[in-house]
This record gives sequence, C-alpha cells and structure tokens, in this order.
Amino acid sequence: MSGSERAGSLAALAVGLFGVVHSLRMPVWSGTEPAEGFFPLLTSAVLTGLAAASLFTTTRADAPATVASWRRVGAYAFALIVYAALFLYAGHAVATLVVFVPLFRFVERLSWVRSLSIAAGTAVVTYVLFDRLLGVSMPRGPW
Amino acid sequence: VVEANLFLGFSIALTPANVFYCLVGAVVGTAIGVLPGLGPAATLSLLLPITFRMDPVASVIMLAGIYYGSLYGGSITSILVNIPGEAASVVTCLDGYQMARRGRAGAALGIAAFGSFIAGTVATLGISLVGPSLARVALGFGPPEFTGLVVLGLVLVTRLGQGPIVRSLMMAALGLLLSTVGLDPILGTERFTFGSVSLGDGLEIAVMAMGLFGLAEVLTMAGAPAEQASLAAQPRRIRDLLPDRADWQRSAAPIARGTVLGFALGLLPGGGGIIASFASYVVEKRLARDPSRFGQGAIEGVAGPESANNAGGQAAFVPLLTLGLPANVVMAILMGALMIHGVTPGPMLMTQRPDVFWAVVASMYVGNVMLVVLNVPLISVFVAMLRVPYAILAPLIVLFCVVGAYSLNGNPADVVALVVFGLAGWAMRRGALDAAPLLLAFVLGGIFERSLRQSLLIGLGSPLIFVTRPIAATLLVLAVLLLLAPVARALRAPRA
Repeated sequence: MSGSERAGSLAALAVGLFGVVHSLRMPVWSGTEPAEGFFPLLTSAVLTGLAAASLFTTTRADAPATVASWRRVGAYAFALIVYAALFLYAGHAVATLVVFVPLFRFVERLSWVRSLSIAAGTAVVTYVLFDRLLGVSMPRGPW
Repeated sequence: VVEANLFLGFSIALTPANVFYCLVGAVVGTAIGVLPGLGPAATLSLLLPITFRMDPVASVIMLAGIYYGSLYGGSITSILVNIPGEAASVVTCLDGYQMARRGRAGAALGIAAFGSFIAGTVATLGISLVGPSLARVALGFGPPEFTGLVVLGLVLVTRLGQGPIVRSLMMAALGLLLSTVGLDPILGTERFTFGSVSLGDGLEIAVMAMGLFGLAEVLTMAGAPAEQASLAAQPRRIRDLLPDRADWQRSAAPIARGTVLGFALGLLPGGGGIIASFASYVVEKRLARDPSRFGQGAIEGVAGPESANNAGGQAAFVPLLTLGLPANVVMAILMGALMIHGVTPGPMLMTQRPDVFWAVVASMYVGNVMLVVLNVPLISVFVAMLRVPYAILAPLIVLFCVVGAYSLNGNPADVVALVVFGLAGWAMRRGALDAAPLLLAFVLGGIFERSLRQSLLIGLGSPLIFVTRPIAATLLVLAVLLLLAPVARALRAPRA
C-alpha cells in the first residue's frame, strides 16, 4: 500500500471516529424507536471498521498517476479558493476578472489580449445567462 | 381500449400549440441538463408561474419536456468534461468521459441519445400498456421492503469501482454518513450542522458531484499537461462521430436491459433515474466478459445507464398520474402544477380527465422523437467544444462550477462546499479512493435512513420485521449473498 493510499484510509478512519463521538452526543434510542443519533452512529461505526480493515488490504497494482507539475495544481487550487471567496464578497464580475486574467496569462501562458477578452466575455455571458435569463441573482459585491 | 386512448392522447399532443410547448420543454430541459448546478427541480420551480395562464395539458407537457430533456442533457457534460449535469448522470461520467479521452466522445454522445430515445419510447409504451396495474404492485413496497432494496443497492454500489471491495464499502459508508448532515428526516433536529443555518438543508448532491468529479478532474489534468491533448483528438466528420456497427452490437443488450430495469425501478416511489442508472451499470459490469474494460471507456457503461436513466425518469410518471404519489421532487412540482389547474392526479384521473392523462403520455412519444432529432445533429457541435484548448477550457470549468453551485439556491455554503469537495476529490484520487460509491450511497442515504427507522418503528424496535416480510427478507438475503460472493470465490480458488 502506497503512502497516499494509507493516508486516504487514515483520513476515513478519522472521519469515522469523529462521527462516532459526535453521534454519541445525540440521543440514539428512545423507547421502542431509533432516535436521531441512531443512523449516524451506525454509519460512522461501519465507516470506522471498514477504514481500519482497509489499512490491511492490498490495493490496486497501478499507483496513482504521478503529478508532473505541482506548481500548476497549486495554482489551480489557489485560483479555485480565491475565486470562490471573491465571488461571494467582491461580486461575480470583479472575481472573474481578478482571478481568471492572471490564470490565463501566467499559468496558461495566453496573451494579455486573449486573457482579458476570454475572462471579460465569460463574465458577461454567465451574467446574462444566469442573472438575466434564469433569474439567479448573482453576487454584485459591495459596489 | 389502449389504442383509442392513445389516439385521443395524440390528437391532443399533436396540436400545433402542444407540439410547440413540447419542443420548448425539450430544448430548455436539454440546456438545463447541460448547465452544472441548476437542475430540473429548480428550473420547474422557476417556470411554474408562467404556466399559470396556460392550458393545463400544455403546461404539463412543457414541464414534463423539461424533465426528460434534462435527463438527456445531463449526460452531455458528463461525457465531455466529467461534470454530471444532474445527479442521474453521475454514472455516465465513469465510462463516457473515458471514451471522450480516447477520441470517442461522439460515439458516447450518440449512444446516449439513441439509448435514451429507445428507452424513453419503450417506457412510454410500457406506461400506456401496463403502467397503472404495475403502479398498484409498487404500492406493496413499504419501509421494510425499501430498506431491503436500498441495502441491496448499496452492495451493488460497491461493484462500481475498480479497487478492493473493502475500500468501496468504506466510501459508501462515508457517503451514508454525509447524507446525515442537516435536519433529521423524522424529528427535524439538527445533526452535524455545527450551528450553521446553511447546513440545515444538508449537502447538495449536485455540488458534491461537481466537486468530486469536475473540479477533481481539472486539478488532476492541471498536474498532467501531457494528457490534456487526448480530449482534443476527436474525429471531425459526423459519420465518424456516430456509433459504428461494433458499438451497436455491444450496446443493444445493455440498452434493452437498462430499459427494463429503469422502468421497473422508476415505478417505485423514491425511484426514478438515479438508482436505475447505477443499477444498470452494475448489472452490465457483472455480465461483461471482461469487466476490467469498465471505467476505461466501455460503451456498455454508457448505453445501459443512459437507457435506464430515461426509462426510470419516464416510469416515475406512473405513480404520479395513476396513484397521485410523486416519486421524486420533480414529480412533486408537476403534481403541484396539475393541482394549480384544478386537476388532481390519482386513480380517478384516467376516468375523469382522460384527455390530460393520455395527452401527457402521448407527448412523451413526441418529446422523445424531438430530443433525438434535436440532439443527434448537435453532436458535432458538442464535440467541437473539446477542441477548445484545455488551457481555456479548464479555467472555464472552474468558473462554471462555482457559478453553477451558487445558482442552485443562492447559498454561499454551496460554493464553500464545492471548493471542499473539489479539493477532497483530488486528494481522494491520489489516495486511490473512488468517489462513485460515496456519491451514490449519499443519494441512497436519505431513503435508507427513513425506511430503516420507519421499519423499526413499525416493528416496535425489533429488527425481526425484516425477516417476517418476504420481499424484504429476499432482498436482504440477496444482498448478503452478493457481499459474500467474493469471499466464497477466494476460498474456492486453488492456493498457489
């Protein structure tokens, strides 16, 4: 079992144990019927047992694909987190321009003109589609 | 009698106005299915007010068109970019996207369209002929039977993935645990919400699917730039895009099986396309001569589930129209639309308003023809999307996922959950943990908990209720046998 596979099992074990502890704080059984903690306790106990068992299983022969560029994975993960935060607090238009222009320009190496036009065009299209046509009120930010 | 009734239905469904509303429904539904996030339930709720002034038959024809249009549309993004447009298309991601990565996006889209058409048409025929009587049989399914069915479903879910069964079961258990986030389904008390009002409604399946499949794929591909070109290498001529003779030979039986399975599961209250699609996938994988092809781009993994998905979606109309029981949220909204117009779905509908019942059934035939006529020529357009350089496509997928998650309920918590599931999905891939069993167990979790607790309530806390009910007992025995089959095989195998 590779290190990352073991880490996956350990993470599931941690979630299972957390679920057991948290479920036990709720009523599990009341008279002749199960209460709100019954099903979470049942599932988290099963999860804990299976996660522990999985630590001792032999897993797939093919190892997870190697990451050729951690820098790009990091850049995309960072862009995702920043975009989600800015989308909610600075508004859809600002977030789209602030996050995607640098992503296109510096990570994907597009020209400034293409980066700006694609980001601005997408901001307009998504606004028209979701806000105007589908009636979803997009976040506008403090301005 | 059925012929006369169908003639009545077609005479209403084929009026120019109703054909127009059916077309609008099919087009809007397909578009909604393609967009991540906004699903058929939200769209029907948004469009319900505009049907107030419409004829009741026309309004239901349009709303039904949106529903089954979305069932097909949902598969398009599953195949092209690994983002299920709606929950019933999760399974299509497994092999549909792998087919796209092998330059076979057109064949996958084609078989999804034709399979959906065949299944939808056969299911509609089934509704006309045997639907009402079968719906009464489905009424015999009480909480213990549902518990048995869900347990069997969960065991089948673990056959979806490629890895060891223990790890698949572990992911299914995690999915069940995640389904308990939010309000208790019986008592209404908060669980795992940590004081957050936003978590009260629980986690959104669409958000989880976008994160675990779509964003995880973008992050994986970001780390492997050399693999990005595989998606762009698609044939250009429409003849080369459509399924060939070998594809049809492989797909014929899965389409037939998926249709029957989807129709049967769609009749059950709480059924519909989601359970039908993954049950079909598992059946096809079990029956395949070489199950290792599944997950690597097997066309049977698209043909079966897509057919089951559509057959199940259309069979879900049976309990609504004949018994007044909505099988899922979409059916509940359609029921509301009918009631607004003074039409009460139920056993009396066929006798009191045969025009409504048979016009809706006939419009499904019309809608299925429209969907295939509309979508097959568009396959080349959809495939052309993959020729957009991944350097542009990947950031746009991130953007559409975030906007799509927000569009569900306008809830910031959905956006936060999307980011968490996106990053978790990538980490799970690194840790050889399969997201499919998690997601499908999550879908089943709500039904499982409700039916399990109701069963124990009926049995005064005793689990013996599952033994005394024959259908429930049979389903549970089947589940145990399926679970123990690999152990028995391992014990029988000669030791090296």
